[in-house]
Amino acid sequence: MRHYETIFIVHPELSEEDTAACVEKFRGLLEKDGAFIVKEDHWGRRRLAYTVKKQTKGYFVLVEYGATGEAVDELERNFKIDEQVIRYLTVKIADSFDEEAMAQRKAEAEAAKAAGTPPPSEPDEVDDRDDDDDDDDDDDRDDHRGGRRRRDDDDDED
Amino acid sequence: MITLKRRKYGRRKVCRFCADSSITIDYKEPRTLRYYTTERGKIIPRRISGCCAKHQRELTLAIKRARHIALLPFSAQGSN
Repeated sequence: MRHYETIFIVHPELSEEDTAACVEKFRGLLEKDGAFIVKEDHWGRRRLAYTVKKQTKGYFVLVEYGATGEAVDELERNFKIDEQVIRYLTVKIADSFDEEAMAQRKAEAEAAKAAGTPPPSEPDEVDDRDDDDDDDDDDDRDDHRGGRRRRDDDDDED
Repeated sequence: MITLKRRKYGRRKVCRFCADSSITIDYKEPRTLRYYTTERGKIIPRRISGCCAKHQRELTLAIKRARHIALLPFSAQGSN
């Protein structure tokens, strides 16, 4: 068992139920291969930095889990087949996976979630993120000349 | 002599991640990474950013991962 983390982007034009079903499908796939899921985080619909499969937005899902290499292979094979998933990335966090420690962490996270106020409604969060991204784009445009100047400096030093 | 002079007036750059251990390099945080890319989306070289070799390596990897999952642009052209 190794400790992995996978981010995948679900097609933004799917309905909420379809998105949930899609995520459910991959979660089931992992669990079938004996994976232990530590965390599942839905970032929601976010703007992409560039278009992927002609889409400018995407529904990001982050899953942290412990699994064997074969389970990851199988998961990625299914990502490739499924057209609802437009991009994915798996990163190995650690070579060993301590199931007990992770189970404890998971329980704590769930307890905190249950005790604290429920997370704020998601649409608001998503809107905030979009705004930030837009700001960044504006900066890009304003600072264009600055960027060029800096690159010229580079050339001189070379 | 020139180098001496330059050293006298130049500001010594310190690696931000060495100076402050609370900042982590994570490909899931495009906001931190954006600081280390140019407006066009290129990774800023070590001689400009002032990062130490270890952290520059981590940064490069994080930026490349972030690019792959469309959190950072490969290239930004004009009002893209």
